[in-house]
Amino acid sequence: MSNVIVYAEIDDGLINDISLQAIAVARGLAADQGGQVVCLAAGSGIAETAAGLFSYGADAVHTVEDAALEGYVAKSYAAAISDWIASQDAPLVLFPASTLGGDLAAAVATRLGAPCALDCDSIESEGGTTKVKRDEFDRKVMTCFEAASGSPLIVSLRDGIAEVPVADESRSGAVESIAVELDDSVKAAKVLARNVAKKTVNLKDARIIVAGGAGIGTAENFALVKELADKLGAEIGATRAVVDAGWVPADHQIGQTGATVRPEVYIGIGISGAVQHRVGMCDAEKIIAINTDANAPIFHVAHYKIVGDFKDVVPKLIEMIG
Amino acid sequence: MSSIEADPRSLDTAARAELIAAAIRQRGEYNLLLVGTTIPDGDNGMLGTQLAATLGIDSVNWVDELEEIAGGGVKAKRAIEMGYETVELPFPALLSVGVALLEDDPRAPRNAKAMLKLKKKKEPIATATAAELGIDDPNANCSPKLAGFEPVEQRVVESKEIDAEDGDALQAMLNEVLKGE
Repeated sequence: MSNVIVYAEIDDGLINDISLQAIAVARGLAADQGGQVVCLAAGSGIAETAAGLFSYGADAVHTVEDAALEGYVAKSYAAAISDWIASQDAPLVLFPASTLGGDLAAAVATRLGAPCALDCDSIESEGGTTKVKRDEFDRKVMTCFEAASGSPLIVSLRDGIAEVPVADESRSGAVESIAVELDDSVKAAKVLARNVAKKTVNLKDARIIVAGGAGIGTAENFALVKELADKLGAEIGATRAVVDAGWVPADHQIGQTGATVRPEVYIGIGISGAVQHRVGMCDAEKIIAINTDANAPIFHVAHYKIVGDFKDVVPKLIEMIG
Repeated sequence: MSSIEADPRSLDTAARAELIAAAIRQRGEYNLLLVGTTIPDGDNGMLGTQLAATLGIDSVNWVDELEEIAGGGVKAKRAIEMGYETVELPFPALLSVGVALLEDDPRAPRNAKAMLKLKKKKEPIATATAAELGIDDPNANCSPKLAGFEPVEQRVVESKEIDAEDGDALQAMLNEVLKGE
């Protein structure tokens, strides 16, 4: 019997979505092997949130809690969970491929001397061999890795690996606390400040998204993006540069450190389309791109290319929609 | 400046981290290590994190800004989903520097090796082999094994160029996209 361990990332009292998707993946893998899905979470004051993992499909939930784990630091978190993972003798440990989840996966793998594959887009297990694949090189090649069973294979899974399971409130259980003594050497590093936007928009379910990039130029110009979005009943998207400039809050961000979206219509305005943004939007059904630079990479994925100044084009579109 | 001689083709990230860690230990004391998040097999900061874990030092991944170096440590701002965190680390520390800020930035990442060559044209580069670093076979523990590559079916985008000045073409595009006409 082989259990599958899922590291569940809990931030600000919420279990992150990719961790929930990983539980769905783990359910499939564990069922094949006659094992259980064992969830692990680390932090400070997380027991109540962690109990919710049962409803998403966990068979057992273990937590490591310590005041020193209030904010995520690779060394302290890896020290907190590695020994317990090693003691479980599980062939597979799944992490969410979030910025911090993937980082922890790599740190734990080194501590355990375990094989590690990050950012995987698919995973299957057969006869003692686990095969993982990931999209690479601007989604042109799928790289495949195989690991024989032995030491635990550490894998981080990308957003979209599975649907988030529907919570089944009839499933419940007792959270087991793991006692870990963290020594002072791992407590020296600290998260001093955290500045994370609250999620107020639902980009993932939006039918139409109008997104703006750095090419918009100023916060005042960004009003045109908002006006077009209003006319279309669309949500507003943005690149990281726009969020950093403060023109829109961070929950509007699409791309590598933002949301991955698949709307029916995506209109990109003043967005050059660097790969970090493209990975978040290139699966939209219809893509319209407006940019002054005819060579902007966003045009490689656009169904409609408009080479021109958005200050001329967008008002025309607004007028046509009426 | 120094470099390590090893056939990179079959090395995985853990093996690379071990080689670099051995070279760093050989050089002696240090305060700060800087690594890029983009490595040969992905943009995930794995090399930095595994290097720090191998050396047993603190690390921060996805660093966008070095806020302060003072008091025997460093303060770094890291990009995370929907925001930022500021992390304080004691020396010795490792920072993996990300390109998140470049996602809509026309400045392309520069070729660090070429820049160094230009700046340090005359300085000799010391080279160490894996054996000199005390590692017999850097490939010995590489896992998971690369099993191959599969082409990803490329999405064929039928792209239409719409003349920005042509009102009828813009209207036709809107009708197609919004009403499926």
